[in-house]
Amino acid sequence: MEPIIKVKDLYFSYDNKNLAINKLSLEIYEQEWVCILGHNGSGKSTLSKLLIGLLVPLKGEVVVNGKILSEETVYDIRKEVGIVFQNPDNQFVGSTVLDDLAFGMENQQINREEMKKRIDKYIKKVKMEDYLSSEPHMLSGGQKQRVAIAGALALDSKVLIFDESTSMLDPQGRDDIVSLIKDLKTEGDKTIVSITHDINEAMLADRIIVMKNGKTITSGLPTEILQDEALMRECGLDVPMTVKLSKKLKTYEIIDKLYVRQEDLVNSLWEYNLKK
Amino acid sequence: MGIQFEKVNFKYAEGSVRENTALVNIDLNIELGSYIAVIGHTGSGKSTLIQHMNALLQPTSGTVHILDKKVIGGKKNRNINSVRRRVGLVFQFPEYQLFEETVEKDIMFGPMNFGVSKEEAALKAHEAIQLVGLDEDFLERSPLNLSGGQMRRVAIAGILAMDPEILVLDEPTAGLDPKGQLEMMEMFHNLYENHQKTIILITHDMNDVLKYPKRVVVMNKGKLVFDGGPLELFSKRDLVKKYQLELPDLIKIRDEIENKLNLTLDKTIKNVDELTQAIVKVLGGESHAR
Repeated sequence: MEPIIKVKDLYFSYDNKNLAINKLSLEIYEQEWVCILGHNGSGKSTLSKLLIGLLVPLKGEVVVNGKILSEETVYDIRKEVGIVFQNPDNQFVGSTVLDDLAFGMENQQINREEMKKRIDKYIKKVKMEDYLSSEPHMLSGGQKQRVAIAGALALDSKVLIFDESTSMLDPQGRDDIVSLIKDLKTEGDKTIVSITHDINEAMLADRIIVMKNGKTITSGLPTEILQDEALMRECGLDVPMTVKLSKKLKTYEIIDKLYVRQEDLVNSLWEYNLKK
Repeated sequence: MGIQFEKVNFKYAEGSVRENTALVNIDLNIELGSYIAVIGHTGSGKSTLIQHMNALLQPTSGTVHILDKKVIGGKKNRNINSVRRRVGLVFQFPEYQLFEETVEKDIMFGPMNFGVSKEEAALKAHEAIQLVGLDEDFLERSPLNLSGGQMRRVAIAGILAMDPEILVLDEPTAGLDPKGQLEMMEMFHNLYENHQKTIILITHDMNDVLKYPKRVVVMNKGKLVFDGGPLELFSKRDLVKKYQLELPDLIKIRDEIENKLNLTLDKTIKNVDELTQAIVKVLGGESHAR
C-alpha cells in the first residue's frame, strides 16, 4: 500500500544556521491514527507546517496522496490535508460561526447548496449546531476548537492534522476534542495525525512516531513506545502513571511486565488476585 | 496577614448593557507561607479572582486585604501601588511579554520600575536567574533566542527580581512538555519550601493539584464552591463531576482497581509509592527490591 503522506530526507531551518528539521523521513498510511510525540522544540509543529506547505523546506520531499508538494500543487494538497492549530483564537476569520465555516468552503468554490449541506452535517457532528450565529470570540476554547474541526471536516480533506489542538484547553474541552477524534477514527475514512506531548492522548493512537532534534528517532505501537522509560526521559517526555505503577508492582512480583493501558494493568491485577 | 477576601463581588462593565457578574460574594483567607491551588473550568472566574490579589482589578463591593493594604470596593483606593511589587502575578504565557535586548535587562525592568537602583536591580537579576534554575550566562543572551521553557523561566525571574512575598501563577505549565512541566513545578515547590514564598497556583492539571498544594479552592460561575484539602476534594465525586473537574491519574487507577477486584484500597494515597504499598497490603506479594 502506498502511504498517504510520505516525507523523505526533509531539511528546514528558520535562521539558515540551526536545522529545525534535520533529514526527517516518515510514512503515514491511509486511515491510520498516528501520533507525533516530542518535546518543546523537537520540530513537530514545524513538520506540520511543512506538510501543508506553510513553510518551504531547504531540501527533501513531501508527497501527499501521490502528489509531490510544490508551488503548483500546494493548493490541491491543502484540500487533502486539514489542520487544527494549538491556539483556538488564531484561526477564525468569520464574524459568526456560520460565516467562518462558509469562508473556508467559498475559498474552494464549493456551491451554495453543497455548502449548506456540509455545514449542517458537520456542525451537528461537533455538537455546535446551537451556536451557528454566535460570534467566535464568545465561545470557550473547547467550543472554538470544535468549530475549527467542523471547518476542516467541511472541506472534506482526507487527512486531519491536530497540532497540539488540546494543549490550551481545560479538562472538559480536552475530553470533547479527544472523543471527537476517537469518533472520526471509528468511522474510518480519515487519516489522523495528532501532534502532542500529552502521553494520555498518545496512548489512543494506532502508532506513535517519536521526534527529537528535528528527526524521527523511533516509531511503534503506543504499548511499546510508552513503556520505554529511558526513551521517554531522553526525549523530554514521561511515561504514563500506569507504567510507573507497574514498575513498582513488578518488584513485588504481583505482575511480571510493564503495562501502558490502565485496563491491561487492572486485568493483570485481577488475575493475580484470583490465583492467590 | 496574607490576602483576605471579604464578601467580594465583581462585575465587568458595571452599569452598561454588557454588565457581567464575574465574582459573587467571595470569602477567602490566604495565610502567608501557604501553597494553594485555584481550579475550575474556563470562565469560572479564576482569572478574575487572582487579578484582585494584586489590585489589578478592584472589587465592585466588598474588601480585599492584601498584606497591610486594604482595597475597598466602590472606592478610590490610594497607595496600593506597593502591593503590585509584593504580590507577583505571572500571567499565562508570560514569555510573550519579554521585550528587552538581553535577559538581564528584561529581569531588571520590574525592580527598576519600582524605584530600585540600576546596581541593585542587576544584583537582583543575578539572584533571580539562579532561582529559576538557569545559568548566569543566560543574562547576556537575547530573551528571544531561548526555548519556550527557558523564556518562561526568564519571565518568572523578572517577577522574582521584585522580591514578592506572594507569587500568583496563572497556568504556569501550559504548553510545556512533561519534562518542562515537572521542572517548573519543582521550581515553585522549592520557592515555597526553601524561600518562604506564598504560592497561589491556577491549574488544570489535577496530578499537580494532588501532588503540591495542601489546600485547593474550586471556582464555579463566579462563586467559591469548595475550599479544603486535595484528597477531600477528589473523594467528593459528585463535586468533581458537577464542576467539570477531572480526577488525578493515580486516583483513576485506584478506582479502577477497586471496582474490578471488588476491594477497598487506602483512600489517603498521594503518590505511586503509597498506591503500591496499598495494593501490596491487600494483595500480598514478594518484595525483592532493595
